[in-house]
Amino acid sequence: MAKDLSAKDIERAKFVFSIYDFEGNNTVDAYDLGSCLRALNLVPTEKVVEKLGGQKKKGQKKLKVDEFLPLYAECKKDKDIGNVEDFTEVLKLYDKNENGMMYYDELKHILQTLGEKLEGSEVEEIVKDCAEPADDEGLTTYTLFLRKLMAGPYPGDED
Amino acid sequence: MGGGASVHKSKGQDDSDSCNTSQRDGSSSQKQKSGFRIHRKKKQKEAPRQSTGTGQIRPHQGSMGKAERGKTISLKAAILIQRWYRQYLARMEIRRRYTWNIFQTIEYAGEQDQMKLYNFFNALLTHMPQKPGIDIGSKDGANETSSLDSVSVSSGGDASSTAAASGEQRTGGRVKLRKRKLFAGNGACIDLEDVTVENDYKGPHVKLPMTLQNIQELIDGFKKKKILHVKYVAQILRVAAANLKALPNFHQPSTSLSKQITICGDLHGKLDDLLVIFYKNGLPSPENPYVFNGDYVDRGKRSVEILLVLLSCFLLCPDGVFLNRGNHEDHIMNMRYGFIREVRLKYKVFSGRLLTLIDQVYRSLPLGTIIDGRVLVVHGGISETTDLKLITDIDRQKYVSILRPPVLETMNSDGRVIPLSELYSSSHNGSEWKQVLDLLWSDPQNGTGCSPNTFRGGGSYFGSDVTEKVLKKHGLQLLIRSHECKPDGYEFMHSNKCLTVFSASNYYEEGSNKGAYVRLLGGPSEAVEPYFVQFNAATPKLRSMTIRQRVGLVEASALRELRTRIRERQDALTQAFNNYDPDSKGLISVSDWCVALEESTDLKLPWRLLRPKLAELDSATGLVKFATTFQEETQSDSEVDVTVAEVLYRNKSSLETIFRIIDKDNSGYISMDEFAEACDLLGKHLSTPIPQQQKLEMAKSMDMNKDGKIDLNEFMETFRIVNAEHEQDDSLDYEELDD
Repeated sequence: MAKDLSAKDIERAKFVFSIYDFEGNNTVDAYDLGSCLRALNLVPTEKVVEKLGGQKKKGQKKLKVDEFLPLYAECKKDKDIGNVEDFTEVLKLYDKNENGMMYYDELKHILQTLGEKLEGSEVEEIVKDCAEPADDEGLTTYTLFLRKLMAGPYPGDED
Repeated sequence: MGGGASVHKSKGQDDSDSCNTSQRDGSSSQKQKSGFRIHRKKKQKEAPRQSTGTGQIRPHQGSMGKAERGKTISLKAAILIQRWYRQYLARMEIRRRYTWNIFQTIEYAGEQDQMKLYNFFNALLTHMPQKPGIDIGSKDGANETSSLDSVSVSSGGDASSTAAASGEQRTGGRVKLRKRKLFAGNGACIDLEDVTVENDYKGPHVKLPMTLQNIQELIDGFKKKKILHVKYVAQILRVAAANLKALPNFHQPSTSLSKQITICGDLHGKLDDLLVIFYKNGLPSPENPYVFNGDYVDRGKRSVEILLVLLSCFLLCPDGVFLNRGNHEDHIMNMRYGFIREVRLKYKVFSGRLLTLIDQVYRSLPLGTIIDGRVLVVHGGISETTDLKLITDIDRQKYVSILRPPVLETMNSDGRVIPLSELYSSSHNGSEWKQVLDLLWSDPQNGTGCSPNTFRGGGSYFGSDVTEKVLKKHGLQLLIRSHECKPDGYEFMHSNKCLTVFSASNYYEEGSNKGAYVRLLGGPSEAVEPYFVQFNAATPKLRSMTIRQRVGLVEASALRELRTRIRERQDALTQAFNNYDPDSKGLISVSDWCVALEESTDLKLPWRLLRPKLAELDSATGLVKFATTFQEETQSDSEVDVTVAEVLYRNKSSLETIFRIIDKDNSGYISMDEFAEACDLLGKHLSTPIPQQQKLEMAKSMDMNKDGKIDLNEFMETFRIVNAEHEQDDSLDYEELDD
């Protein structure tokens, strides 16, 4: 399965693996599997990570690089990553004035209560970074938020 | 916001449904993949009616259908956003981690350079006359037996020595102090402690014996950026050194009365961190004892203040303050890492003599602490040969610098000085010097085994088996050490038998790491129970930043350091690049570029991933335009020959050290002859000797104000290597002594 990966992919995967190899013995804790895959620009859900062998606690399972690469290849195949238009469709539900704005608090609420919930502090961070501050009425531009989120923390960098 | 309201309303109405939806969380993502499912769900509810699913739903069913769709879609939105956010986080995290690697790699490589040039420094120190006061053979090393005794005081008239000194500052005349004592106008010798305190001195006053009030005033004064008068500094240093000298090589405190003890790691001149610790944990006292594990000075800008506060606490409360020596309590390290620069800046003409007193303090500092006979606290670590009993019997006063041991120790039978690299070969395993070096320079490693610490150039790497063995041999339960910066301020290794604690927050850059201290709770009859406190002596600017911005800041800083190192190696790099480019196109493959960089800089880093930040690609061919690797360099436009300048520039980080060695009296000036001599020596140790004529010309061109002497700024400025840090130091936001 590793032949689905280009040489460059393998090199980057090995690099990320080496960063998370905290003990210096060429293994990565399965707890960090999700972080590794995401650092390689994939967007698996927590469920998918678990399916691939990720653990909820540290120290349960260790992965060697040869075990990691096929997981990376597998995860890479998943094309359902969503694009801005998907999101926009979805968030239009909340955009009653149809002007591209929604209530900041509703956005937070969604992220904290639905799906694979985020912590309050995480939501604060992400909104602080990606969304414009809510205006006087508590509204924020969601398309801008989405674009920034998907562009990643350091857009323009090749990583 | 009708829509918003209706969603909420319907949530209330369809309570049972919403419960179902959330229970089916796991499967809902699969459902979302096909809109078909949603329709089917609707059909289940609205069996007799058709729905087009495009929103054209008949009014009386509208709210229910829409609500269902709204819920599911919200769920989809949430999950998708959450996935992307987790990716966002992971990308930041990886960046933070490899930035950390960059800093550490560069830092240790710097220390390694220091060690590599050890032989050169050794030669320099041997060939140049000794610093006054550093007389290894004598008992207290403070004799003024220096043969250099020309003193010229160029101001006239004033009888008191202080006026003479301050007169220098006002008239800008130069005082070359080669002896420890000052000559007043009438020729009498005056001790630093007899210097009169001026009427307009606004700093703290200290009257020994030390009192709590003294310490409070010191701290308050330092918070207001006052500089303590040299008279008081000299007093504190002298008395502290005398008191420390009387202590054994290992402190042996007991927690039977206090029932607790606090251990702090490296502070490196960050006074704010020490003040945070005292604020959170209280000042030292017999009921609140502290162990300070070395590295009080260098790098941070308030090393003098930290040293004075710690020594004062020790004087006030010798039963509650236990000071260990670190590898930076060493004048050779101080030459390179900034402490000497700081002392000179703050104390000017008195700095030479103060540094002599500070050396006395260093060599009097004990080498470690053993708490309740079961917890060993040393700055660096251990090695497989560590024998505490042997170390207990050493005369530690011999080691003025850990890097320059007593002469007899370091000579072979043929009188040749043993290089450090050989010290770690088996024939010298029993060496006393190695024991001390290991205590102050070693690092723990993952896995097992013990080997020389090539990263730093001194001390050992010790594995978990070594920790196990050494602890067992001495009946100990835990090793606490410092010496390495950790992102969380502390870290356990070796099955929790080896603890690193590091107390300087934001060490590499603002936002790079937390500081920490550890408290051991309970008396000697109870189990060892460590309790950690982390902190961040951060500025307001830092606190208002997001994590992403902070990581970005640290990364930018790491890249700057990296670029500096690349520039230092420009010559070798250019050669390597040219080798890969026989047709002189200016282009090489990315792989070749990476190899060239790793070999020339001696840094094992992920070059391929760093490439986008360091060099440009040619868009047509996808090859690297290697000249862009150096693009931020400012060209030196001095008359100095290019190759010579580059030789010196390459060793820039050693240059300041070299300068300071030459500048024996710490006056801040060297003569042209001295400079030429140093170049000679440097040339011998590198493969490129520097031609005589060029040396002199270079020296002349450096002497910008044509007074026959070169000062440090002229020295560095010639090569445009005054970096921002130096510039900041030189700008005084401190009060002048004699205002």
